[in-house]
Amino acid sequence: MSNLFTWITEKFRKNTIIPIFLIVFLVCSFFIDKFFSLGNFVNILGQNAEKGILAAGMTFVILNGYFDLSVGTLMGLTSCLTVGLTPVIGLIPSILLALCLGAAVGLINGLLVTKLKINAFIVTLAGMTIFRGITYMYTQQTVRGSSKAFYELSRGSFLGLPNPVWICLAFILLGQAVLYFTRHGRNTYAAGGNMSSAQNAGINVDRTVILNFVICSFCAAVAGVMYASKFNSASPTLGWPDAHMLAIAAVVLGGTKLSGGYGNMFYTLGGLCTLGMINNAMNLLKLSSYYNTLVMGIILIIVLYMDIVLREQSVPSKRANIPGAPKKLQKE
Amino acid sequence: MKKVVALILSALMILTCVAGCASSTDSSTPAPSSSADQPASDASSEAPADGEKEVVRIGMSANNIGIDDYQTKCDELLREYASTLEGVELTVLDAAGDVNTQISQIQDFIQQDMDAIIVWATDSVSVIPGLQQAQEAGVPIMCTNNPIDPSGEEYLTAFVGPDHYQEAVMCAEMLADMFPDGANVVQLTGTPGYDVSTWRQDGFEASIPENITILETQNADWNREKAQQQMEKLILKYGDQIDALYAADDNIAIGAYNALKAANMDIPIIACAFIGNEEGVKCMEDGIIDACVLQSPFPEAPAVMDTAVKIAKGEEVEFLTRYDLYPVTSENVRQVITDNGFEVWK
Repeated sequence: MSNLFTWITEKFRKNTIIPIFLIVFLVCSFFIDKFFSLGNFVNILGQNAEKGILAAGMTFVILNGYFDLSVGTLMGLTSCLTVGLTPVIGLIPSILLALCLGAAVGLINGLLVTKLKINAFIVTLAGMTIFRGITYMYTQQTVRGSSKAFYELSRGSFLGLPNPVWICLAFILLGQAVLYFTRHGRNTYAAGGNMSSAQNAGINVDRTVILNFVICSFCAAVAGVMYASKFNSASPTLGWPDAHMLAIAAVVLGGTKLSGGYGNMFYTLGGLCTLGMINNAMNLLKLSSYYNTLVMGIILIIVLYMDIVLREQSVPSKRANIPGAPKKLQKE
Repeated sequence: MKKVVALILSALMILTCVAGCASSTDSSTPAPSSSADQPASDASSEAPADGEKEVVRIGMSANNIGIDDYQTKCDELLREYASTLEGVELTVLDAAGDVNTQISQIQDFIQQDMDAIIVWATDSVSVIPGLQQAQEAGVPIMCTNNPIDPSGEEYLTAFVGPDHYQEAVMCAEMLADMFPDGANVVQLTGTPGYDVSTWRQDGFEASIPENITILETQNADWNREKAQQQMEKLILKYGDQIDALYAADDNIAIGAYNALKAANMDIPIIACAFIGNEEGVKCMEDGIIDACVLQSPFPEAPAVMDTAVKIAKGEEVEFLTRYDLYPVTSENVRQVITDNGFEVWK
């Protein structure tokens, strides 16, 4: 019995998102009327599906030690383009165009960061404002959707969960598979943990970084397309001013280190669900949305502090937690 | 182990602080149960689905309460009016201008079995999926102030709001009266993409006579400082050519006036909607704003709440309720306000 207890506390300590998620879940269930119901849970998942895709892409970039601030407005741009170009070139071509745009943006971001060695923060910050400008040049008003089928995609559900939730789960699982089973995934962890060591070990760090930026921007484009479907329209204000902050918060709350090299998709999923529950709790408590951002900020700080406190007890991890490394090299 | 307990305690602390904040901002929030060993309250406290509901519960998703005086005042009046009504419980959530938040709030209201939902749309087209979900769940939903795109009207039970297009038409007529021989005007609009701005712009542009030309249109985002900056740029560009200014609301007009005063220009300003507050009235009487259309928040609160209560009870209502608009000039502004029973408010 005490073995089980030790095993549980060990799991909790290593994966801090689990106790956090449980605490938020239990506190909300006991304290808040109408929180603990199937309909509410389905709602929470549905409301966060698109943000989940954004966070999944962001995980790759953060694991690599960078972050991408341009995803929010890129999402807005792809959303507007998808809806706006549907009457012109058809639904599927506009979706494909939006996705290709996302990938292309990621490529540019990656090249600027690796080849020109510009700080990722600056590059993506500039990207954020550039995309907002381009979006407003394209349309100043909400673009009306014209495809019934596209709208029904978001509204449909499978086994009780809305389609966007399934798509988000697919991205998370796919992302996790890439991280754990492919060479690119291992390279990402290595490059994030210690870039020069990875370089010396023969890993093509530049290509890894570029690919991660492409993945991140591609996910942002997908999120944009999903929003276009959800609203059956696209507003140029989508994603502005701080959609990227929620994605980063979800990833970091989950336990992925901002410095890179440690974390995984399930952490992000946990972080996303926790933030979704907190958001929902704010609504059910009838709190103004401004309290929402305040509370999320406070919780983030507490979580990061707790993370340091809990890790004091373990050996500080300066090396990458590369999956597959021999057990005795990993920290206790 | 101690750390985990510390985590639990700090989370509890935060949530109870936050729940405490909740009950002070909204007088009609039920106090959350504070006993930690009560099981989750799904089955026991749900109101019976059939039979008389003694309290009518109405949820409102507001557009962006803090953004300008008008919305803040409307929110205040609405809550005040709701608290005077017997057996009505109003919950107001602020969508802070974000469509996604607004749709989530509508979904949460449906989840909470509200009897009716009021929406002040953040975007006329994008909220329609939320309206559709409410209608499918059987919750009557109505909109106020910001018009909904016609494609979404089938999901609405009612709309209560001023006719922004008509306001703009009235302003165009007043401008034409001021300048029978024609003039060059500049236009400062609200936030691009927000339908109220679009309506006020389109109404104006469609109704001005041939001999009045619009030199340029810039957007001022309903913000006084931005309006001042934009006006400065327009003055630099056109200087004396400008004969008059058409502003989408009085806030913008005041901002632009500051720019004009600094440039020593004294041209008539027409503000499309004027909300009837102390500052605005003073501006009108001082001649800063020459003409405008009164859109007071005072008739809005009772109109919205009464309609909401009616649809919550399942009664028939008129689909479209528009409240009256009054063109005013410097001389008759205070008169018009008090004649109609509104207050001049701070």
